[in-house]
Amino acid sequence: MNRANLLFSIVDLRTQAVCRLSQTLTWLVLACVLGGCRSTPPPPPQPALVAEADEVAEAATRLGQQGRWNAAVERWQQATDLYTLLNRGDKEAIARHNFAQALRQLGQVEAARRQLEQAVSINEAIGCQTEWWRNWIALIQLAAEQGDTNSVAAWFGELLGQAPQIEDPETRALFWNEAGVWHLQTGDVPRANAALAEARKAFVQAGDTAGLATALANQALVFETQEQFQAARAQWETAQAKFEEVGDPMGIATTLAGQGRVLLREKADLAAAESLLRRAAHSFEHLHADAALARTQALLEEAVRLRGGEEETRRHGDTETRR
Amino acid sequence: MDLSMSWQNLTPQLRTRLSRMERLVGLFFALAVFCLLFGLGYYLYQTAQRKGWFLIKAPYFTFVDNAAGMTVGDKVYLMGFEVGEIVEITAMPPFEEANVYVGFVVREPYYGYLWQDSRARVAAGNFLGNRSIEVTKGIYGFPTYLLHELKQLSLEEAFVLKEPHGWKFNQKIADPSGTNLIAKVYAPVTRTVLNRLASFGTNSIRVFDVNDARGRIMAVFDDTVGHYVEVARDSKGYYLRPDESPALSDRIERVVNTVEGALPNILQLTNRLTEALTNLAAAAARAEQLVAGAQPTLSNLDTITTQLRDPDGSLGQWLIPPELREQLDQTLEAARSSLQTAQATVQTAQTNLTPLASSLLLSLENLALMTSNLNSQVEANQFILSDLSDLVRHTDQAVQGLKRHWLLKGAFTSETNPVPHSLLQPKLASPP
Repeated sequence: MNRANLLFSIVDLRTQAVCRLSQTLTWLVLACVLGGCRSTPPPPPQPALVAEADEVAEAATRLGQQGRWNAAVERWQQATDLYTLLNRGDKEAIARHNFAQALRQLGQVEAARRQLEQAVSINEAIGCQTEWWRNWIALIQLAAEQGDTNSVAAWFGELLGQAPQIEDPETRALFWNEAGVWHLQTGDVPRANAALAEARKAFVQAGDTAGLATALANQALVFETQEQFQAARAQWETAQAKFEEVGDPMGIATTLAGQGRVLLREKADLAAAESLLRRAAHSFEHLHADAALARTQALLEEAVRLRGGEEETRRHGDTETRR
Repeated sequence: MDLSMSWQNLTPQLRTRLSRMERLVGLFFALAVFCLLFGLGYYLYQTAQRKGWFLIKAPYFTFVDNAAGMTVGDKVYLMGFEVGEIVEITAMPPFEEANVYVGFVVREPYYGYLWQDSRARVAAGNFLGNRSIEVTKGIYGFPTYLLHELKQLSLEEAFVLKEPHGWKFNQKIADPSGTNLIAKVYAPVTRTVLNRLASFGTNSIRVFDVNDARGRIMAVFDDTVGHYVEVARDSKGYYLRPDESPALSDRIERVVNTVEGALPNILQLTNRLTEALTNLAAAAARAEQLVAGAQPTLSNLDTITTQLRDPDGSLGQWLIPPELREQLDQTLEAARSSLQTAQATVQTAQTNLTPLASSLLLSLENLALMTSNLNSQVEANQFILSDLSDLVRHTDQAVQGLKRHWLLKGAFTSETNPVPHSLLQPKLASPP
């Protein structure tokens, strides 16, 4: 009996100890939880005008993504004004850059150029190197569109030597891609190839699939210029796969047209060339890319003509054999 | 001829008197014409002043989504004053982003309040669905119009200007580095600035003189170029950004929809009560008809049975045998008891109908009391909506606090605004 009492008292003591322990642990957990609440205070609220400027810039970006360029221009101008008032040079330069891109879409090239030049000045003053390079790339693209080859040549003369200093891989890739396109246009094919190879490397480093696809497509064009049709076709196919991966209809149409053009120039498989060119023309028509459509239609006409002649020759040959 | 002859025939005295009379008549006529012209001129002057014909009117325009409730000639307001009127409302071409073009003018001196950041607010005018334009006062930027002539001066001409003067710059000029602004729009033209400009080789500057106010609008601020330009002949004016609120009818409709959505159960209950009352009224009417119809039958039966009981009656005992009479008695007894039962039933129904109607009346009174209480509650607690809003806000704060908690923040990925970046696409070369 006494043993049993002793046993019960030991069990009771253990139970009490476990209860105390669990109670203490619970309090400790609660203390930690409450302590954690105090450890991260809420972020301080942004000033009203700063928040408004950011909202306007965000709305402008969304409008640009939707292709509503008129509205985007208005918003970017508002964002630029607000950032100027707030003396936020970094954001003002970005807003001016994007304002210029929207103006460029509306064909207001001169105004776009002025905005980009101001963005360059601001980034130079505040020492924002990456954005400074991006402004220059946009200026080069704009000048190339205008046909201002003198400016493009002069700028590349100054900037090509400094290009290895670009830290941001995406910006470096964009610059080398532009340089490659420029060399290709000036007929300097080896330098174009080298620049595009640099661009590919940098796009891979930046993880930019769309950019990589563009560089591949440009390199395919280089191969085509060198009449390395086999390599060009392979490159066009790789670029097409990348464009399909990112869902870029314009890129897909361009690669289809490129493959068709190579086949046509090789005169290897005219039926496949016609089919590819027809699909590319259809896509360009949907995308309202008039210049590309006109080029593709001309190639398609040539493909149809050649194929008609081939058919005629084959039919003639069959008739002769039967005789 | 006859007149000159008759004039010659008159005596000199009479001729003198007549010529004096003519002078008086002429004078009176001249005075009358003068008074008429003066009155007309005064009337025109007063009308012109009342309607603001002599005042400068600055044209503005904006775009709205909907032209409902606005007509040409409607007043334009600024800070509660009537400052102008709408002069044109027209639909935009189908492929334009904006829907409706609204042109309006703002009278002197109110256009001076309108700066770059002013807005054209389209708000509900009255309860008839009218809408009006209210322009807002500008806070920052530049005034939209200038009365001063824009000029281009060479630096030599600028240097000889006597100080102090009211010449201001109408352009932004940066130093060769492009980072420091030397002059901006509305900055005064000073010798210090001119010296700096001369050191950079600037030849001419664009300016205007604020002391030289012309009686008409000379320049308008061009937002695209960032300075004032001369007003073109076919200019539609300055574009004010719109700030459009939905029409009052739409807002009322939304409120009505909310109320309608909030009270479906009460409507259902009242429908059911109406249905129950209608059924009860129909049942009472039928019972009353039954009782009224049974009353003559009962009296007729009573008369017949009285005659039948009498052995010397018209029918006689020989005609009705005792068995038949007994059976008839039994039948009549049964009929009487049936009628009594029916009468008792009707009486019970009548007795029950009264408390039922009373209890229904009580229910209706309670319902009215409830709705009245609800109404008084809403009227008494004017801040109920703000209290609810506070509740939602505080709950949101609590949830946000939990999201920042060290134990829980891992479960909530941080969703911040994307960092703005400059947009740039790689160029795809076109084939030669």
